[in-house]
Amino acid sequence: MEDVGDAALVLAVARYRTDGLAEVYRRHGGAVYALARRVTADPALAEEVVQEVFLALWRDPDRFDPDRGSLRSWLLAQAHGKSVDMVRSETSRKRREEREARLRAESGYDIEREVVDLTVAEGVREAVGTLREEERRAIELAYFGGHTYREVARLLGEPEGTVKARIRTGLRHVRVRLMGAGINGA
Amino acid sequence: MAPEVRHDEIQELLGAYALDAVSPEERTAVEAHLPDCPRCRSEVAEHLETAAALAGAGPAPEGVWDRIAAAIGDGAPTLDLDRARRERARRPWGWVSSAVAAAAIAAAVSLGVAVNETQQRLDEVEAGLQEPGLVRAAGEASVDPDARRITMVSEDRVLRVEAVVLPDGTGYLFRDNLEALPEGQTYQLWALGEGDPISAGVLGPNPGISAFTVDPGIAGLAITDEVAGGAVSPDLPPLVAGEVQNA
Repeated sequence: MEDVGDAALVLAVARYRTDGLAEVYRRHGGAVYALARRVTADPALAEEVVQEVFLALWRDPDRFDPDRGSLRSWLLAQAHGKSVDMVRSETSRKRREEREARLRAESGYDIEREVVDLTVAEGVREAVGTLREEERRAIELAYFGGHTYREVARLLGEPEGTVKARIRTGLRHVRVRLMGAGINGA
Repeated sequence: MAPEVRHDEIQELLGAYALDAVSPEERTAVEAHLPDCPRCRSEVAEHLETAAALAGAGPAPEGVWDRIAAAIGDGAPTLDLDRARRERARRPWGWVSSAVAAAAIAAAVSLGVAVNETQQRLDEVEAGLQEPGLVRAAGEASVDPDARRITMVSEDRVLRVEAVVLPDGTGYLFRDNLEALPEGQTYQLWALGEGDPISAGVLGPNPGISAFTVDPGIAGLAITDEVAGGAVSPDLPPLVAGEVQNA
């Protein structure tokens, strides 16, 4: 199983091979957990997200389409969506308010530091480092903070359209830098 | 219904969409647009890869895997084929339900009238872990609203094979947990209807995703294990069988 590509692993999962799922978990479980923990700011909720993401892959492996991107990015997108749902849900409102207060208190809530903490490759850190400050802030608040672009606009006191565009151009800049450094997203 | 949103308005949302940072209404609008727009799909895929690069890494939490493993059962179901065969021999096709059973029991006492047709189907069906076109076709068929689903299960419900049949009779096995057979044996697919089971093809010792063709009016499908080369009528009771579910 260790030599098998991600797409073949998903086929193994589709054939109810638990060792296939275990290998997917071994490869990507850490990243899924790291992202869920960052977004939810809660280890217990993050573990719940990880569990849901992998059980969903087990139950419905054909929702992953290898033509649309890597398994890692797909799993992370699932984890992000679930994490955001959790922090936005009514029951988490109190937690969310505490979280926002904490984020506001950390004036320099800073994507560069985040990625250092998360031991991301040097190239990724450098790529993020080349972003304009306002792009970086918009992406970090949306992606790690779990905010909509409208909320980000409110938090930053910027027009919504501006923030929406910055998220998009910022992601593109990072991508160009990563490709320049020979790192693709996966 | 929300009014249709223009392509350029959708495009502007794609970065935020990829980060789950849009409103539910905007999400719906983007997702309505994506199936028809390869350019926007490709942009979203790029943003998702970029976001994934930012997500970081770390050790996979071990306690969580234990919970996942517990939720999906204690490891892959292993099957003792000899034991299964002995048990099946005691209760031939009888466990297969209702309409399917009637067809199957008839088969046990008759070689059937469709031998010629059957022999034509003793060729290997197109099987395809290595064939992306087949995998894709099976994937598309499995979500086709006109497809009818057939879940074949073993009597003890341990073995499970999922298939779909499209209205034109094209069918796909797209998910199974059958074990690879020893050399000299093969799985064989049978179409169940009013008469005798009709071979729908030899699946080989380790089927995976496979395409087959059957009469669209079949009542169900079953799989047996046979000596390599296949049989014109099933030698043994089925490993798995299931009825067509109404769409």
